[in-house]
Amino acid sequence: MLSELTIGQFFPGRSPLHRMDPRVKLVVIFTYIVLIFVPQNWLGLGLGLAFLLTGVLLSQLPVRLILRSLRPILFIVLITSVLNILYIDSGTVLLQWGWLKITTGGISNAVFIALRIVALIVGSSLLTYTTSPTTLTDAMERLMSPLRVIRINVHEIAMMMTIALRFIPTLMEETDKIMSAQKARGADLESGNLLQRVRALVPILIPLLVSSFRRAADLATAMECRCYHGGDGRTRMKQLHVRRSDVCYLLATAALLAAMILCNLLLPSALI
Amino acid sequence: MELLKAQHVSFQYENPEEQPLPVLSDVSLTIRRGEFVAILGHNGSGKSTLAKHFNAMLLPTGGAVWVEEWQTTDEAHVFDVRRTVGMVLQNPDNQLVSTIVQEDVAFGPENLGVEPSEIAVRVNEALRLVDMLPYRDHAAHKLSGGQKQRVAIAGALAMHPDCLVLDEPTAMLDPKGRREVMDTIRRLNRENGMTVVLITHYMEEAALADRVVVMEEGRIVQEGTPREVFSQVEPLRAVQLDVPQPTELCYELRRQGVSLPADVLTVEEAVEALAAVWEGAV
Amino acid sequence: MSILETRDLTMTYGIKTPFEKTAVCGIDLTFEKGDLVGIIGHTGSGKSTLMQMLNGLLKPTAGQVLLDGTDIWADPKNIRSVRFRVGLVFQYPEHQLFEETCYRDIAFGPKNMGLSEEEIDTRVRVAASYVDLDPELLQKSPFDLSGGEKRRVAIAGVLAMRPEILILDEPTAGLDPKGRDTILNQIRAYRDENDATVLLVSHSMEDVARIADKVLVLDHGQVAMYDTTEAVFSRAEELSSLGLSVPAVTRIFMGLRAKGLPVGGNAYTVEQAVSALLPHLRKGGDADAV
Repeated sequence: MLSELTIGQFFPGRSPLHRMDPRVKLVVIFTYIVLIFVPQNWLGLGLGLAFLLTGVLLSQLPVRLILRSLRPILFIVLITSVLNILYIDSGTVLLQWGWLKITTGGISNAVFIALRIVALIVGSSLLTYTTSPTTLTDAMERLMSPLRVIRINVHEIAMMMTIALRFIPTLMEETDKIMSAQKARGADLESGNLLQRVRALVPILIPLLVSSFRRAADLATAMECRCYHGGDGRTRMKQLHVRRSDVCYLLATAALLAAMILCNLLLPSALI
Repeated sequence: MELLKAQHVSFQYENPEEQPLPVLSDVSLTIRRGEFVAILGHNGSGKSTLAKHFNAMLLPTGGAVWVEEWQTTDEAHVFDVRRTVGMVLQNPDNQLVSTIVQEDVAFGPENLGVEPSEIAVRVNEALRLVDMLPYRDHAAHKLSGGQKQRVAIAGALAMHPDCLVLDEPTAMLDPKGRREVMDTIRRLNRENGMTVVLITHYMEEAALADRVVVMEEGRIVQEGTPREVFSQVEPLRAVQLDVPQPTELCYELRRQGVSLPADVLTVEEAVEALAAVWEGAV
Repeated sequence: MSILETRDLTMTYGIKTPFEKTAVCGIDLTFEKGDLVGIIGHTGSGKSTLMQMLNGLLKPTAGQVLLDGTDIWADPKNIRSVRFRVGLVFQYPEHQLFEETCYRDIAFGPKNMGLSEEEIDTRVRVAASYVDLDPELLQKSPFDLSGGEKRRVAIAGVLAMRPEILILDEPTAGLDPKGRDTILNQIRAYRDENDATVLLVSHSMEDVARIADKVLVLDHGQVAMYDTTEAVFSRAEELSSLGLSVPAVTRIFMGLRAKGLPVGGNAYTVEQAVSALLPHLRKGGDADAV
């Protein structure tokens, strides 16, 4: 079922990672995402993975949950690995069969890139798993507040994100329901050529659209009833404070960045 | 003391092509502090339109609506009006703004610019009043319908309103959810003195109020205690509303010549009344 | 032979995960042609899972659904034809309307059945008349109709497939008393005219008491009771203990019996209660007169 997707889900808790200032967490994780593309050799990647492992430990989340976040991208990882193995021809030849050639270089490259993708996804799921969506948008709003100078309404962007996050599960559930209802009227969603399949989506997309408009109208009323009038004069229940531990995390991230760049400069690249 | 006052309110939607359709015509109603008033009527009777006049979501095209000392047309006080009259709507899924329960409850006070430390206090207090404190950190979309509606009530309570207007809050709930929401509303009224205006088409719910107002075609057609209103079986049937079964049973038996009181409302009262006639008969 | 039968029907979600949950557990049921069965139970009692298994939207994890004696999953390729024979109206069916006109929306099911244009036309018009839909409305957009009318269009969309078995999930949810009475009467009319089997899932004991011949009570994915309406409501105490609210008149009868008054029979509608009580109460009137 669609509603079983775990990406973007928040798991409440009181771990160090949960309690990290969300602005700091955003900066750290975004830096990390950039960082994971920096290393050209195993030592650099190892540093990145060690950093990630620290993050996983700090999150105190069950490993099973973290592995589950990888399920949707398993296919991509596999494809890239296979392509790497088949196309890269360097190092010792391990197996040759016609034009197919598997080499140590190919395997090493495949593993390297697969690890990079996995590290990327696990890192970003750590962010969404340990930060409530509202806190996340709140942090973005505050981090982006300098943009107000160039007349960007940061509050509205953040509000839209909050609402989108709130309604994604509701609309997924709704999609499930509409699909069942149309199937009960004989809608065939599984067979036919591309055009027929696209056409078969109309009975699902239109009710979904209509329902989204209805929900939007209701929500707008509800928000007005609760005195919503944009970002001016609005206070926030959650106050954000950068603590000493947050400064440590920032410094550690900076140190990691420096270390990775150093690795690249001093060691030969492992990638072909 | 008067809290809400509708004086000769009429309302019609602007409709340039056709004749404007009156939705409310000459409605006058006063809600006193601490009262529990049910507005009963079928779909299209104008009951929800009236409710939206009490927090300035709609403005009357004729007459006036007052909330405390503010007239709802006074734009300078529109937030005072909306803070004073907390509104809960029908669809539990479409009125929660935030993913996490406590963040949603905080939405109202945040808009009002309440101090952060005070918001946290209000959120806890509001969630405690609706019995949802243990769900503070839960995801809103995973709650049951009844729980979502209670969170919506808490969201209104966190603005420290003087009055709650609930627009068919149980129409989309299962019996368990309906019971939860009705228990919460009654408790807020009895124990916390909250003024409640409940819009409904369920007569069982209206029967719990201090006063019932019956609406039909944009007018108030009946008003009184539940006992007074529901003992009038014929007028209710005329506007296609249900009568409580115990009342209906006694009414039908009376029509067959059995001498029973006209104002039987509950199962217990019906049992007492029937037993009395029965034992008298033996 | 029964038209619809279940044998040891079971549905377990999330097998071999920590979220494993059995929603329906070994249910054996038979439904006869022309039955109007009310299905009641709490949210989570397995009602909606059962419904969706009966028309092949969900495949049971164990057991069988027999339609006219044949397992509906005997040939999975034929499952669509099962859905035409066992029509399912979901809760708030008006939320699935999508066509430009009511006519085309009602025609969606028949079209999927591959019927001829003339046949589709007849079916749309007959279905619209079952739900008392003004023929003028057929050319209107379903999104311009009132809530009650939308629901009737949506129900007509299922009736147009002429299902032999019609399953409705809370068809009266959110309707006012007037809208509710209209829909219930139309459902009964469809059953009467087509000798169809109707399964009505409802939270409202009063609705079920009013139109059902039989009542199926589900509890925790199992059959708690399945009998004639009268027999089920006569077990009012048990129903209450399952947390189901019995009709107020039934509770009045329970109260009278608790007082030691020999109330004959059982009542679950006001009319029944009046005729059951009248002899006892009249005696008093007559005695006084003497």
